[in-house]
Amino acid sequence: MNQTTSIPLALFNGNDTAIGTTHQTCEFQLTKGSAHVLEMEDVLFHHNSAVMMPDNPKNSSGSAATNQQKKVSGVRTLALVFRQHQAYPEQKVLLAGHADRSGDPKINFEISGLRAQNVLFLLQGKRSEWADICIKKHKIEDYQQILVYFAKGMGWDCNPGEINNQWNKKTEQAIANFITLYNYNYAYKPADAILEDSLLDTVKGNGDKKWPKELWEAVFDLYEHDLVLATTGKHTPDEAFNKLRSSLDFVDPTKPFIACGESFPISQDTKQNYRSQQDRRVEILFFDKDEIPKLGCPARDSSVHIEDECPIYNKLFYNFDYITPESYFTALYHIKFVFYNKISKDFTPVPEGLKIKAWKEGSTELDTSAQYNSGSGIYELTVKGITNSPREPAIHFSFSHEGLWIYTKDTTTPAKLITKMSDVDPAKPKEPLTRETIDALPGVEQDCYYELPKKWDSRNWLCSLSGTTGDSADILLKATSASDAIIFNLDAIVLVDDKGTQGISDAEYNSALKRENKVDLSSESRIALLYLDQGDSNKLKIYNERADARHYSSIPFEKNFINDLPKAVSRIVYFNNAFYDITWKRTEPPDADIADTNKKYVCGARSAVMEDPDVHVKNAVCVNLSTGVPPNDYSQQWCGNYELHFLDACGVFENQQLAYLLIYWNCRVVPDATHPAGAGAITNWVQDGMVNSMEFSNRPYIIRKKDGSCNRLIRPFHYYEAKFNNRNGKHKCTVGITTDDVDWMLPETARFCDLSYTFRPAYYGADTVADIDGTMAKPLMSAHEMGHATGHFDDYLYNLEDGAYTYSGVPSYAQPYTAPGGPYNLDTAARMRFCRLPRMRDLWHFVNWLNDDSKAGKPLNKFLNGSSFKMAYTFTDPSTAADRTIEIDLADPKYRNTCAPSYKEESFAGFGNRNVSLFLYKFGGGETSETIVASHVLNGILPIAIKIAVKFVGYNVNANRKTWIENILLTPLNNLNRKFYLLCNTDNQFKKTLLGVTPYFSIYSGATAPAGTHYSIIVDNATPHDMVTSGTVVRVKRAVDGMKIVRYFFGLATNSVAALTKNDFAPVATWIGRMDVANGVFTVENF
Amino acid sequence: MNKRLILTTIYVACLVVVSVIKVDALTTPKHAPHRKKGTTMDHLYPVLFANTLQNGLTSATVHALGKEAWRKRRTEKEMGSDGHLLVSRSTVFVITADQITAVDATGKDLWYSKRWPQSTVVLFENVLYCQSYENKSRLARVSLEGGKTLKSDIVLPATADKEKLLFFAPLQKEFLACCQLPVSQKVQNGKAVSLPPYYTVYRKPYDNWDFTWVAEGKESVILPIMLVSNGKKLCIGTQQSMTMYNSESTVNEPSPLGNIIYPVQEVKSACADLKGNLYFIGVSEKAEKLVVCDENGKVKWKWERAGITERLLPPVVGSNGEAIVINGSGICCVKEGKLFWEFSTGLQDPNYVTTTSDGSVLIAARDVLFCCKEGKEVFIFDAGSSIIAPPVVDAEGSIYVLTPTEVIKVM
Repeated sequence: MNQTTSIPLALFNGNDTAIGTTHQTCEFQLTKGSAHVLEMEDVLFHHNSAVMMPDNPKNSSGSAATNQQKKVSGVRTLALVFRQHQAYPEQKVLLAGHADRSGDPKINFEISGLRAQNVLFLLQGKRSEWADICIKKHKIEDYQQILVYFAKGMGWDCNPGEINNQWNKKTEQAIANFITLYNYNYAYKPADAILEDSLLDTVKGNGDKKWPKELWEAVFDLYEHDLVLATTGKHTPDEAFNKLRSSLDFVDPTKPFIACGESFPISQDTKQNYRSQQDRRVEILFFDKDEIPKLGCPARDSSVHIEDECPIYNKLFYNFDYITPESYFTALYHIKFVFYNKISKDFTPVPEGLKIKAWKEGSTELDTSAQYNSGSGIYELTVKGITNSPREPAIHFSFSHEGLWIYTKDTTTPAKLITKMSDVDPAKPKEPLTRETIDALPGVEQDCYYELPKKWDSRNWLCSLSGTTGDSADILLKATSASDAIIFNLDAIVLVDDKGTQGISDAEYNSALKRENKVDLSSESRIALLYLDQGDSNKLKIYNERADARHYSSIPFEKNFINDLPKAVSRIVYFNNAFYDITWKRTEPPDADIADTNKKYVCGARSAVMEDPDVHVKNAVCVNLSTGVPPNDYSQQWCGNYELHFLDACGVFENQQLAYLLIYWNCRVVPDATHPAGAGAITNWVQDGMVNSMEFSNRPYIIRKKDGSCNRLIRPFHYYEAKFNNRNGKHKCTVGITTDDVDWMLPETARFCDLSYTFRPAYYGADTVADIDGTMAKPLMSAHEMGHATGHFDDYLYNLEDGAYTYSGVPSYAQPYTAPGGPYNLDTAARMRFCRLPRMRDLWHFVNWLNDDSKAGKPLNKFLNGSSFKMAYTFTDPSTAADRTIEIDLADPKYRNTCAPSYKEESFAGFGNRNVSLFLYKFGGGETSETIVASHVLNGILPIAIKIAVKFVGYNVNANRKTWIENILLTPLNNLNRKFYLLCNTDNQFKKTLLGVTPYFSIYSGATAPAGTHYSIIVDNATPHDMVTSGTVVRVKRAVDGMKIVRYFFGLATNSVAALTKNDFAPVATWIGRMDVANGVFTVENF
Repeated sequence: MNKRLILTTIYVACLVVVSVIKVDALTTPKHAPHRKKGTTMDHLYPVLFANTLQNGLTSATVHALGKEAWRKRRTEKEMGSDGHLLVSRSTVFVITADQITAVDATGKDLWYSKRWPQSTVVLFENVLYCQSYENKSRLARVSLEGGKTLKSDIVLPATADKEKLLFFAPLQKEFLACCQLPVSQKVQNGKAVSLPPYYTVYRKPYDNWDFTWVAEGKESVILPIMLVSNGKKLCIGTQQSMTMYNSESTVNEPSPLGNIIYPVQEVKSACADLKGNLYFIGVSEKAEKLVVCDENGKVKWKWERAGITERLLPPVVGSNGEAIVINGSGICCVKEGKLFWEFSTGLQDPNYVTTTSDGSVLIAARDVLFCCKEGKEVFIFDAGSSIIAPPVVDAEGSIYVLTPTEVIKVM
C-alpha cells in the first residue's frame, strides 16, 4: 500500500519515513514553503554600526537613500512587525542580520548579529539589553542622526547640525540639551532613569566619544514611545500592546535571530525584492506554523555560508513575499458577515462575492482590495491610503448590489451567492430572484434562500471583535487578524417607528403618573425579542428571558440596535407598549441621513417596523370603562382590556403559512394600599407571575381554516407583561399585590395575593383532575386572573352572601360575571373554574375577531381573504398513545358568544305549573365536551336553573343555615348532574347534550321572596308536617328529607323520596325538540 | 393506651390553633410579610397541644443527654420549611407539605398517609385527624397502626374556599372546631368590595351533617383558641375581647357565656394551664407584660419587662405552673409575678420552647437545641440547620427535632 505525504522541503529529512509503517512505500511530495519578509533597510544602519536608526540618514556615511527610501522610518517598520503579527498571529518570527561585504567575514557575522539583536530588543522592549548592543557598536553619526530626529520630531533643542560622524561643539551642546530635555519630559521616570549632567563629560572624556549606557537607555525610551504610537496610535503602551508584544512567537525562542554576516548578499535576481542598495540590513521573516524552518545554521564564522547549508535562503525551500514599508499606510481589515442560516440553524458566514468598499470621512472612497477566506468566511480587506496609521478613525465600509441572495442547499454544501435560481441549477429559471419568487416556493425550499440587504453601511452598527461588542466606529480602530475578524451580524435589528424613524422613544408615556416622555435605552428596557423556534414547529418564544422579569429578554439595548440574537428566526420585538415586526425589510435611510452621523442611522439591518401594516393588524379590546359593556363578542361584561395582534409571515407549519394571534395585556405592579405585600412579593410577580401564566395558557392550539381560500394556520400566543412601578410607559391595569388571600381583576385595576404568582397546591389541594391529554394541572391563580384580563367570565358560580357571611359552595342569585345557568361549572378542570387548565372555548372570542375582520373591507381581509376559522388541538391520547385532534367551531352567530345561551326559556313551565329556567349551550368541541363526564363526547349542555329563596324561622346562625341548604337542597340537586343526557335520533349539533341542574339560592326574611325566585322555601319547625306546599311556596320542618322538595320542584309526587329518573325530565326533551336545533326527536338517557 | 395521655388529650384538647405556618425567621419564605416588632407570630404550638403537649408541656420526661442517635433525610417531596412533629409512645409523625410519615424509634419509616396540604393534624386515641387529602371540607381519620385512612368523609363545616380551620379538638363521638373567614374582597358592578371577617365555632357529631351547637362572631380570631374548665369552656380571643362559649351546650345556637376584656393593652398571644388559668402576653407602652387571670378574667398576677422583643410566641406553661416566656436572647421563667430564672441562648434567638413534666425546658434556637433545667444548661445539640418546629419527646425520653431536610433523634 502506498502512502503519499506532502511535506515542505525545508522540513523534510529521512526520518520522515517513520510516518509510514514498515514495508510500505512512502511517497513524499516536497513543496516549497512561503514566508513573509520585512526588510529593515540598509539606510537604517550606518556602516560598522549596530544601532537601528529612526529614519533614513542625512549627509552621513551610510547608504545614500533612494527616493523611495527617503520616507522610510525604522520605528514604523518595526510597527509593521506587530501589524503582521496581529493579522497572522500564528506565524513565527525569525530575525536575520546581514552585513555588507566590506571587512572580515567573521566581523560581519558579528555585526549582523548585533544588528539583528538591536532590532530584536526594540521589538521585545528590552531597554537594558538594547542599550548594551548599542554600546558595543555605535558611532558619533548614530547619535547625531538620532538627535536630529528628536529635534525635528519632538521639537527639542538638540539638533547637532550636520551628521558627519565628527565630534564638535554643536554635537556637544545638542547632547547637553538632550539630557536636560529628556529629564524635563521624563521627570516621572524613576530616579535611576534621570540622566546626570556628568554623562556629557563621560562622552567628552573618551577618545571615541562613545555614549554611555544611560544615554542609550534614554534613546530607547524615546524609540519605545514612537513605536507604541506607530503601533497603537497611543502615547503609552496599554495592556493590548503589551499583550501583543509578549505574544510575538519566534521560530526558536532560544535563538530568535540568526547572523548571516555577508553570506547572502542581495543578488541580481533578488534585487527587485529589496529596497536596500547595500547588503547591510536586518530581515524579519514570518513563517506559517506548518512551514517553520529547522534552524541548523553552520557554526562556522570564519567563512561565508552557502545556500545549500542554509535552512532559510536555500532557493528550493521558500518563496518570500516581501512586505513593503508602505504597508504602514495600508490597513488590513478582517471582516466577517454572518446571517442566520435556516438550513444549518446557526449563524454562518456570508459567502464570497460581496463587493465591499471602504470610505474615509464619509465620502472619500479608499482603494480597497478583498480576499475571501472560504475556510473562515472572512473577507480580508486591504485598504490603501490610510493616513492615520494604524487605523483610519473615520473609516467605514459598505456594500450594495442589485439582487444578491445566499443559497444554502444543505448542511454539507457550502453556501454561495446567487442572483438567479439558474446559478445553482441551470435548469431553473434565469430571471433575477425576487422575494415573491421565493415566497412562492414550498416552505422547506424557502429556507434555502437568504436575501442580503441591498445596501449596507457599517456606520452606527454594533459589531463584535474578540467576543466584545461595540460601536463599529470603535471596533474598526482595533486590530484584526485572520483568526479574529470583526463580525457584522446581518440579522441585527433596528426598531423603526410607524413614521419610519429609527429614533424610537416612548411616546405613550403615562401622564397620570407623570412619567418622563423619554426612554433611556438600557439593558433594563422593557424589551422582549420573540423568535420562531424552527426546531419546535416554529413556536413563538421569548429569547433569553431576563432574570428579574422573565417576560422580557436579557439583551443589551443601550442603543436602538439588537445584536444579541437567538439562533432562530427573530419575528417580533416588544418594546414599551408596542410590537415591532421583523420581516424581510431592511433599514434603508436616505443617503443624506446615513452620512449624517448625528442622526445615528443604521443602513442594512433588519428593520423591525412598529405594527407593520404589511404583516400586522392590531385590535385593542376594552369594555366600556363606565358600564362594563364589552365590544362585540370579544369579551364579557366587565372583563377584558387587552389587545389582539394578528402577525402574518411567521414561517411555515404543516406546509402552510403560519401566522400568530398574539394576545397582549400588561400591568403595573404596586404594593396594595391596605395590606401591602413586601418588595419580595412584587419581585416574584414581576419576575415569574406573567411567564408562569403565559406558559400555562399557551397550549399548542391551532386556529385552522374552516372554509375559504386563505392558506394559513394561526397560532394563539399570550404575551403578558408586568412592570415595576418605576418603569415608564402605559399600562392597562394597575395591580396591587396584597398579603390578603385575595385575587380579582377589573379592566383597569386588580388585586393579586402575594402567593398567587405561582402554583399553590395547598390552596386547591391535590392535583387529581386529569385533562383530556392526561395533563394533571396544578392550580395557578395568575392564569385565572389573566383570563379575566383577556375577556373571560368565571366558570364557577358565585357564593351566596348574607350580609358579611359567605355561604361557600352555595350559588347565589347574583352571578354578574358567569354565564347564565352556569354551564361550565361542571368543568372542574378548567382554568376559569378552578384555576386549572386552559380551554379552547376560552379563545373563541379571539377567533370571532378573525372571522369578523376576515370579511371584505375589514382589516384582516388582505391576509385572511374572507375565510373563516375553527380551533384545533392535537395531542397524544393517553388511552391509546396515538395522536388525536379535537376541534371547536362556534362560528354560527347563535353560538359565538360562549357565555350566552344559544337558546333559553327563563320561565319554563313544563314541570307542573312551576317555573324553572332552561339554557342551552353548544360546546362545539374542545376539552369541555369530553371532560365533564368521562368517556362521553357531549355536544352541549342544557342547565335547568332553579332560583330558590330560603327563609329560616328561628335558625339564625349562618353556619346552620348554610349547612341546611347544603344538605337538604344543594346536595340532592347537584346529584342530578352527570346522570342524564338528551339524545337526538338524528345527527345534529346537539345530538348528545348534557342535562344539568344549577340551583341558585337567596335568603330572605321578609314577606316576599326576591324577584326572579322560582321557589320559596320556609324552614320552620312549627310547620305541621314535614312539608306543606302552596304553589311556589314550600314550608318545611328543618329535618325534612330534601328529596321531597326536589321532587316537588320537578312536579313529582312528594309522598316519595325516590331518586329522579330520566323519565322525570321528559319535559326538557320536549322543549329542546321545539327549538330549531335539530330535525329529530330527543329523549332523555342515563349515563 | 397510656391513661394519662388519654386524659391529657381529652381534657387538654385545648389551644389547638391556627394554621401551621412556620415561624423561623431564618427560613421564612421570601414572600412572607414583614412583621413588626412585638407582633404575634403564627401559632404552631397549639396544633400540638391536643396531643402530648399542654401549652408546650409534654407529659414525657427528658432522658436525653444531647447525643445524636440518628438523623434521617427527608424525601425530596417532604423537604421544605413547613412541617412539624407529633409523637405517640415511640412513634414520631413527621408532618410535612401534604404528607404524614410515621417513623419508629430506630428511624425506620413505618407508613405514610396524605392530608390536605398544610392542614392541622391532631392525635387522639391512636387516631390522627386531619383535613382530607381530596377535600378540605372533609375530615379524615388515619389509624396509627399502618396509616390506613379509616374514614375520609366526615363533614367539616365552614372550611370551604377561603375559610380556614383554626382549631380542631376530637372528642369521642363529636368534635369541636373553629373556622375563620378572613377579610375578603369581591367584585361588584365593576368595583372591588371588601367583605368583613367572621368566625364560626361549633360542636358536631362525626356521623351526620347537623351541629350539636354552632355560634358565630363577626371578627377575626387573633389568639390561640383555648379549652379550660376541664374542657367545658371554649375561649375565642378576637381583636376586641375573649369570648367564652359553653362547649357542652345543648342549645343549638347558644349565646356566649361572657367576655373577658384583655388585661393587657395590646394582646399578642395567650395560653391556658391545666387549672384553667389564662396567660395573656401583650405589649403596653414600651414594655411586654404577662398577665395571668382565672377563667373568669380575674387577674391573679402580673409580670412586666421593659422593651419589646422581635418575636412574641405564646407563653409556655411548665409542670408547676411556671410560665416560660421568650425574651430577645433566651427565655425567662416567671411565676407569681416573679422572675425565677433566665436562660440565655446567646446569639441564637429562641424559636420554639417545649417544657416537660420533669421540669426540663427544650429550646430550639435556629440550628441549636438547648436543654436546660431551672435555668441551668443540661446540654446543647447542634442540628446543623434550622430547627423548624417545636422539639418533641417520646415515651423513652428521647428528643426529636425537625429541620428543612432532616428528622433528628437526640438521645
